[in-house]
Amino acid sequence: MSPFLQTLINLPVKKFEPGEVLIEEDTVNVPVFVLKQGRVLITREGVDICEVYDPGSLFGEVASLLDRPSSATVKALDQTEVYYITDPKRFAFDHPEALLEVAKQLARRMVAIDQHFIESKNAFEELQSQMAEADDPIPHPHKEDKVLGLWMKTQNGLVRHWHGSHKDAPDTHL
Amino acid sequence: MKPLIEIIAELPQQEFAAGDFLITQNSPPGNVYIIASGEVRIVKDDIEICIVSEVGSIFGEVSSLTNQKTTASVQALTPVKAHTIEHPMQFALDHPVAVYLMAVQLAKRLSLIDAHFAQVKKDYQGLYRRLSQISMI
Repeated sequence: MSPFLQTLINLPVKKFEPGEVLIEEDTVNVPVFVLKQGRVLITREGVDICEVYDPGSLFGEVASLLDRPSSATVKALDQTEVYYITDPKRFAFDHPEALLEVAKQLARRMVAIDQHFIESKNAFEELQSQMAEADDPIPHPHKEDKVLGLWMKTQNGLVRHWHGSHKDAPDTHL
Repeated sequence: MKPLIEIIAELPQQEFAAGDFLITQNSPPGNVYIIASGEVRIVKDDIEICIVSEVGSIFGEVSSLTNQKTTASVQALTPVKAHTIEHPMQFALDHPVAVYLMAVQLAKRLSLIDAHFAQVKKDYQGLYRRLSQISMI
């Protein structure tokens, strides 16, 4: 068990059945959940963003830090258990190592999405030039494959962005 | 708990001349700097990203947190004074209030770039749809 998860073992645990919603988009005062076990789906404005199943993944932490409504919906796909932090600010100050883990996850996500943003912008520009070619009467036999490839690139990046919190960098033990 | 301003004031200060690099891109994680005075520019892959002169701006924290190489260079444009955190991870554990404020900053940047990114994705989807239609014809 990671040092971060060890700081959570005395917290209350909430259980969700498949299909149940943990966090609804645009809700104020959402608690912070930490995934103990299970699998959830993140959606935003009705669009599937990705699945998350890594224990230790955080939900609701950005809304809590910024005092803002939640920006995405989190729904259980399997039976899911989460640690439940009702007073995130107080918990953060009582557990500096947990707070540091939150900052680390945010930093990793930022690096992942920064990188992905550049890739998507490049893919977008490439697609724009494909558009120009599409008006061109000369046939391009592999055009559709190429466009599909570019499209997949933007999709994969989003998954990396959310999962980046755990997979992109090894945990630096304190 | 000690207020952040006092914690920072107690940190050692380093001085840089115009042209000096506080951080070089692709270096291993090292010091974290907090600007006390002066102006710096952020350079990534030889492209200037922005100029920063705001007192209290933090540099090097992402690389420390992710334990990965620095993703940009920070160069002094004027003489610069910066508070220096030499052991960022130990500092973080000793001063949760600093980490909390840093986490807030990171969350802000993350939601800004998220929103920006969502827009690019929407544009992209529109373009993709149009292209599929053309291909079908």
